[in-house]
Amino acid sequence: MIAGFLEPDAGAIRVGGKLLSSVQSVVPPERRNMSMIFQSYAVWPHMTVRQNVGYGLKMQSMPPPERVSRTDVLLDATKLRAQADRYPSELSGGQQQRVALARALATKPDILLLDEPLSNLDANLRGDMRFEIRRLHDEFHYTSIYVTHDQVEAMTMADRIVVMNAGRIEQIGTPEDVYERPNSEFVARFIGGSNVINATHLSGHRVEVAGHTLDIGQGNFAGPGEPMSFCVKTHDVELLADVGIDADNSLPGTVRGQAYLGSHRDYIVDVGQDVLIAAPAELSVADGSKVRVRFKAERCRGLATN
Amino acid sequence: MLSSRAATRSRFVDWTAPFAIALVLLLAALVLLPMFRLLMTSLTGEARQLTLEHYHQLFADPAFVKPLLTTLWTSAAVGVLCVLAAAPMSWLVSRTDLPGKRLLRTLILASFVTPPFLGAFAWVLLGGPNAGLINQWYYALFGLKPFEATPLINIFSAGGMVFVMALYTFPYVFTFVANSLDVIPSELEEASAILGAPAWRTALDITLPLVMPALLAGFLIAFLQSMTLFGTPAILALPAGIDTMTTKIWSLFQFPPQLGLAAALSLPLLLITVLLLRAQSAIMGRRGYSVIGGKSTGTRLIRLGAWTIPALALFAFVLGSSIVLPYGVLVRTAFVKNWSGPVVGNLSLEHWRFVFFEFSQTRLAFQNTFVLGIAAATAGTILVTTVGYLSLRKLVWGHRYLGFLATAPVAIPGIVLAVGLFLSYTQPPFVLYGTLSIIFLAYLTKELPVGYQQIGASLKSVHPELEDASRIFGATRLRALFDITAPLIRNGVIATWIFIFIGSIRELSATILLFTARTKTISVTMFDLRESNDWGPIAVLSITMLLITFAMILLINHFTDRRLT
Repeated sequence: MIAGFLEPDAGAIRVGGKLLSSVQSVVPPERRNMSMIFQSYAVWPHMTVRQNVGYGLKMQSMPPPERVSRTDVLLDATKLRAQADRYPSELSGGQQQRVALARALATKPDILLLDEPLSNLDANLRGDMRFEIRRLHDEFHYTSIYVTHDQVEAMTMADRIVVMNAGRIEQIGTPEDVYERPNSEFVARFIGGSNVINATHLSGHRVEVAGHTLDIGQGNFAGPGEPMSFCVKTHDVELLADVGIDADNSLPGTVRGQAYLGSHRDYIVDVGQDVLIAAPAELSVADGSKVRVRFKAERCRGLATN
Repeated sequence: MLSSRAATRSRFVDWTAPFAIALVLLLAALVLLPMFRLLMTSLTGEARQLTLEHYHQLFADPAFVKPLLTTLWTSAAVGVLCVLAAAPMSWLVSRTDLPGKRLLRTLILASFVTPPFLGAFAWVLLGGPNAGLINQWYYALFGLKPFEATPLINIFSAGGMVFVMALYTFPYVFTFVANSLDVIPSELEEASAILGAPAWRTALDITLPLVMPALLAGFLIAFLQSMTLFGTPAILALPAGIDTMTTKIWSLFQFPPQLGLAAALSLPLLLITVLLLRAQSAIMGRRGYSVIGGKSTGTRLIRLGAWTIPALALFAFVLGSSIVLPYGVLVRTAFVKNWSGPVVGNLSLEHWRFVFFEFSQTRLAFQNTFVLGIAAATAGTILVTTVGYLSLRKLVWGHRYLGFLATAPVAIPGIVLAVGLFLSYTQPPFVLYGTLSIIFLAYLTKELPVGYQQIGASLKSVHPELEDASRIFGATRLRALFDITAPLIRNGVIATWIFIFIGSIRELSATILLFTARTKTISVTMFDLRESNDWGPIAVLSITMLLITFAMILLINHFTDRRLT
């Protein structure tokens, strides 16, 4: 819809104050001065790399000499000069991706749209291309809109993340905002590394879980007696092997499983619902043991939706 | 500025909608109008009153019930024969170390593209009771006298017809099963082998159930093909006094024409076809058919050892009967004066001279055939490309109807379509009977599904994002079509054209009801020559038609092999 391929049923899309899409009129894709990188790359198989990259310039009726030099700039920037006269079928996946990138940037777009551009690449290449996309973004100064399902991609590349769920915006913020201060269960789960725990709001910053009272340091609260949830990072939960200590802000539970990961040890503890804990590697508790789970109050965040 | 853009856009939308509606109407006229006329005529009596009398007569008169029964049992027999031959053949080709697989596959393709009525002509020359070559050899071998002894084979019989039909229908079953075997990972079979099952057990317990849907579907298609053939029964069964549904419909068109009955007889044929196709797509669509999991990494071929000989014997029998002997006898007949005499001292180019320089009908028949072929192929390609693009890209309202109408004629047997067209275009306002146009309409309609499928495969291979990409870099929709989609589907379009052309130049079952003296085609001319027993010219025309067909297929290979990825 941003690109203009679909017509909106309601609402409007404006760029820099200019109306692009509304129910009444839609500016066609070719008049938006946007560029796009498609999930399938959409590199044209019947054109050479040079023809692919130069296509947008040809559409802009740029005279050939200029077109060649502009194309060369992009081919250099994407390190494709050597492959300029090859056809896409003779290129690797990463190279095809770079052709798509060069082609998209050749027209000096105001906005670059990227639709899961890395989802078809293998893990190694993905890392390189992530860096490459960000480098070109910084070099050529345009606005990028990057669609991805991969939270690592989102966290490492974005200045601003818009988390969307079923077509609705859940949260807008910097990667740090979204990671540290998720506003909804969906965001907390999407960014990962978090437990989302169901509770009932008591009053103020206090909630009740399975008959125990917990302090929640921050976030939104539902209202006394209402169900709600809160999130807490796995490394902000502490596993206490000694059940005897009546540590505050804690719940009793049973160890259900563990995995030794070298730097730390993951535990799954049943406190009526499962809690994932990143405990120090040296802490070893047998499966089935009774333990206590302590939540760092200031790191817990209420996720009431209102 | 913005409003003017909006205006361009809305004008664009205004034009596509009427265009799509016009296209739907055009297709509906092509496909539905003849079927509607067919239905109406079958329900109309002498005094133009609504009546069921034709149907009543159809099911009461043994003269009609018998052809119906004959058609059903012979078609079923062809289906069974095809499955019995094609199932082991496809397994041998795809799973064992049988030698010469490439050649065998090529020969099977050759029987696939041989017009069945050419095979029937050839088998008259081979298996005619007295002068047929095989019987001549048989008589000579045992010192028997023709016309006195019982012939070894009599091709003019229901059995002979079934045999010849099966020879040119089994490739359908072979293709279905072979394709199905190709997607079944051989690991599924290796798993059984590792558990200790011998090869034949694995084939029966694992492979057979997995290809069962393909076998069933193949059987139904074979049944359908035989049921709707006109040439083979007319050439082989009619002389023995055996009628099938198609020959019966044809005879109802002879003087005095009984159109109501012909229409009523066409409808069961249409109904059975629709039902069979539904059953076939239900079987093929079942979950079990698409095998999940397993990579087909390096199929382990089963060693045949001593079984190689009987396996090759099966191929030799089937392909010998469908290709080697028929082609051989056609070539022999084309180059000897008297086809039933010995070759020595009998060689002659007389038939070639006759066909190409003396026979008055040849020029007109070739001209008609090519005019029809080129016109149907060109119009058909344009039509299916437009329809395919609009319906597969879901660009317009009604794209579903477009796709449906373009595939619907697959359920209309050629002769039924011809009856419908005849009824639609013999009386005002549309009088096309006696012109090439009515035959053109028949070919165009009949070949729509083939063309649509062909172009559809090619359009689907072009990812819509390729076109979207072109638009976002500044191309209009038309420009994107021209720059990106057109070059990418070019080879597919050419292949579609050739497919329709091949289908048209060999058409017999619809043409046979629609031709007049001025609008004869090659196939109809051959059919006529048979009446006067001019086998030499028939052989010459057969070889010519086969050569054209093979040349066209080489062209298709040329264009599809180099398809860009």
